[in-house]
Amino acid sequence: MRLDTLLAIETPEGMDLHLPLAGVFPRLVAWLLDTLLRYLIVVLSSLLCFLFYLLGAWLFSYEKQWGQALAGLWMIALFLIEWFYPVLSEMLLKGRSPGKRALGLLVLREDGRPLSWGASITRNLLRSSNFLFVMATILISTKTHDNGFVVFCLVVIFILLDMIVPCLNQRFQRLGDLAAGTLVVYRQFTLARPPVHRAPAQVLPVPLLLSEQRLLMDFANQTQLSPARTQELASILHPLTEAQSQAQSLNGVAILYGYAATLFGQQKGTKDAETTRI
Amino acid sequence: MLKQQEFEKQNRAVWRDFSQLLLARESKLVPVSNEAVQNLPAAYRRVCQDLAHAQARGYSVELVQELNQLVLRGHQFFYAQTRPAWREILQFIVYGFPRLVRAEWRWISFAWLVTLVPALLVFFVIKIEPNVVYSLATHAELASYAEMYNPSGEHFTEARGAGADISMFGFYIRNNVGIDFQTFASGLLGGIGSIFVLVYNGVQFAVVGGYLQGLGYGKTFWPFVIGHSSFEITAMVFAGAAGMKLGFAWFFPARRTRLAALKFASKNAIRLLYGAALMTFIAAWFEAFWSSSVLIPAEAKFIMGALLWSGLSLYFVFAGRDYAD
Repeated sequence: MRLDTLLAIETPEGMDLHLPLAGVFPRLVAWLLDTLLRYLIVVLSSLLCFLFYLLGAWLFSYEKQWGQALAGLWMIALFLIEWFYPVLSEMLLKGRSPGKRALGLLVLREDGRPLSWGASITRNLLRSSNFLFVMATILISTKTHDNGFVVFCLVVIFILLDMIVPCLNQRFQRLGDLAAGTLVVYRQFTLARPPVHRAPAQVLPVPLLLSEQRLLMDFANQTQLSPARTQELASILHPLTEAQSQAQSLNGVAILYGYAATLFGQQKGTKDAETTRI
Repeated sequence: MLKQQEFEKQNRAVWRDFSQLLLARESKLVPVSNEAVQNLPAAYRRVCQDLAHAQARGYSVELVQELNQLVLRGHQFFYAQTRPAWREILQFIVYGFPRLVRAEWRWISFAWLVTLVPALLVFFVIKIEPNVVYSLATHAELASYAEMYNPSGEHFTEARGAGADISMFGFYIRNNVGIDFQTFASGLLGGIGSIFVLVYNGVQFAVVGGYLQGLGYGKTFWPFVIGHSSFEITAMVFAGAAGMKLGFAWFFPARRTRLAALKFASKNAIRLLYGAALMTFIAAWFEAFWSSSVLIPAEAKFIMGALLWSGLSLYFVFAGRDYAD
């Protein structure tokens, strides 16, 4: 049973690129952060407009006209921020708006390519929060807005729509993503090479399957287990390591590290400093 | 089988060179020699092969991850589309948009019907029985409209300053383009939201127009709306059509899967919305600076209105027909 959320994309070269998909909750947190930031920008730009107004009122004598003109420009700015902050922050910051950056997320198209303007606009205009207002108008004009239950149901539906649809989808895509053909993935970092486990290489007593070799190498590379736990796991392979362990008076863990070193390519008996890194 | 250590030793230089070359090309700041660029595709294929080897032979997770990342960067570098934006926008305006409108004439006609039929019905009902307006709008709203369009009111006797024009321009942009976007987004649920917005706005228009006509304020109302309405109402209809197209695609996918139908519909629907947003910007300009100007006589506004309506119709019917596909 596979538990990874890795999506395999086939490239034109016939390679499988693996992308780690991001689930609903990281995206929700990123969206909240972005919304907060957007409100902050609105407040700041309003302040800026007000400062301009004060400046202009001090310089010119037509205060009222200046104030009105600024109000108009301010409304255009508000419009742009409300509707285009997500698009601009995604496109100008290479698919990672500030909220997504904080969570380590990245928006890509379905075939692994970076976002295009069309895709970004489509996925951001089709949010359920965008048509809440229309639904409110429907409710008010059909006079059902007094019915608290109806309102509650509708609000719940619309908020969850963007959270339910990703869960029903194999690629965690919400409606905007489905229409635009985009994915939200974790931005991969190159994993740091684990610290050195210095152990002399040991000859494998039996031939191992690829999965078993992989297991030994992962065991030697891991850094999260405590020494006691490592010993406990190594004792499972006691029948394998017994002979060499007694012959060389090393404990089982060192023997297993030695196997891993061999699998990595270190020759038995060499003391090459570089090769002890697995 | 080649062990991981040996494998890395053999190939590390190639990977490093590829990575640096990609970085140089992406940043565009570092000059790169011609042979290096010509080798880029071959280097990318080599790195792809190395990743495949690493995956198949079960090398450590760190190595596979590193190579995966490198291949992803190469993939994005080679296949990302970079189109010059201004050229595309110009092409859209000159022939892309009218062709799109002609291609989607079914949805657009349906959207016009949905807007006009209820509106005309309500308008004539109000003509016959004026008191109907009071069940479609509140007294306060009607009173505010009456005050706004009163021929002897301040709106039509004093010239509005430039500042007020700009403030209304900003207001119209925020209000109207926002409604266009919301109309589009609300179409997602089977087109219901878009239909509702179109009917609602059509009826509103008919109520206000009918009421003011009944009061005898027609000579202030019609010149005001005739100019910018060509752009604004058409744009609203387009936005509604785009929303409906999207919503219906999910429920009536024809020969495609629902998902594929949604994606296919959304491509043209979003382009229709671009055009609608552009038209609404223009409408906002007209509404703020032309329609409400006291200095321009009503006859001129009627003539301009006629010009705009006919101009737009000609544009959508004839523009872009000569361009070879």
